[in-house]
Amino acid sequence: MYMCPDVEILSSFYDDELEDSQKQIVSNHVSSCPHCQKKLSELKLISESIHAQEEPDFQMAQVQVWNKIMDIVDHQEVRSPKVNFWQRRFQISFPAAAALAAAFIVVLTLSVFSFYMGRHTTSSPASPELNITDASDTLFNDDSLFDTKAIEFNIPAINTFIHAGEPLLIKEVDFRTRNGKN
Amino acid sequence: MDDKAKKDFFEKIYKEIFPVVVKVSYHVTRDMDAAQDVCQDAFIKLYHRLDTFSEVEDAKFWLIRVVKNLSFNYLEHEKVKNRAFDKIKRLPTFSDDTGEKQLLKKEAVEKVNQALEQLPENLKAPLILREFGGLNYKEIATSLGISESNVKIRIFRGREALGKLLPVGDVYVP
Repeated sequence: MYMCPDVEILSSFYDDELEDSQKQIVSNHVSSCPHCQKKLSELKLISESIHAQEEPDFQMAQVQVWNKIMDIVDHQEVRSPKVNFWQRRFQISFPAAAALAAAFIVVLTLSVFSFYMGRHTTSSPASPELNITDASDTLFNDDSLFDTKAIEFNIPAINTFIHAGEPLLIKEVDFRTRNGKN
Repeated sequence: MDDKAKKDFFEKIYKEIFPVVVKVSYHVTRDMDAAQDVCQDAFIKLYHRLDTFSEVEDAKFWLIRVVKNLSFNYLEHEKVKNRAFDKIKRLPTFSDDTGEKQLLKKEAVEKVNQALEQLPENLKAPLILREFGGLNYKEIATSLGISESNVKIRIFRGREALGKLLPVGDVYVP
């Protein structure tokens, strides 16, 4: 008589997973070993207890799930070619979206800034059309001018005229008057 | 593969494999609605990648693996969600037409279910594939991506653990 096989072997024997030669040996042993017969009946009992519970209607489920799958598959197949270009959804990663948003904010800020700067410069009164002529020949070569006691300069008669510094012309006249003629 | 050939191949796989995977999913989740949803998701995934399978057998093992994973994911999600509610749900329910035999059976089934739930996934999955899916060790090994000897050990250990959790006297056999 052979030694009792491991329960692991008996489990495989119960599942009919042993090779033919091994199966024959175990089968011969079990037929004459009450201990192994008991082990086998326990394995059978466990299996039967697992199957003791009532099961739902799997055939009905098979039909229901098939219909649902076909609905979904057909819907996807019909819908996909009709998607308009403008209705398509594009996926964009979060970093790319954040970079785009930041770029947009920068451009917006710059455009607002430049707009206000532009308004400031254009809001200042337009320079009056001054009739500027080169008077240096007259001033420096016409001695008769210095006979007069004063030279009159006309400044534009507008409110927003800002006097900023001494005109170079006056300085030069002063210099010529003081050092040249007087 | 044109549309008609694709659908025919898909239907062939569905008819052959659905009865196996729905049972596996049901016995993992213990919820028929969940099992149907899991199978539906798995078959839609299969449909979209049908070109990658040339044989029904390849699709079968892929489907079993996907259904097993989705079912255990569902179970884990539900466990977290309904941990408190489960205790109330599992209380035995009594109805007027419940005879003594029926009650004994209900209690025994409840014990088996609780014992199965206590098994870890690595023992439960091969056992369910064997007992409810009717797969042999080789098919289970291919589906789970493990060796046949590993399947043999896991099934044996699963049964051993169930045997400890279910004293023989408590087991109802119809």
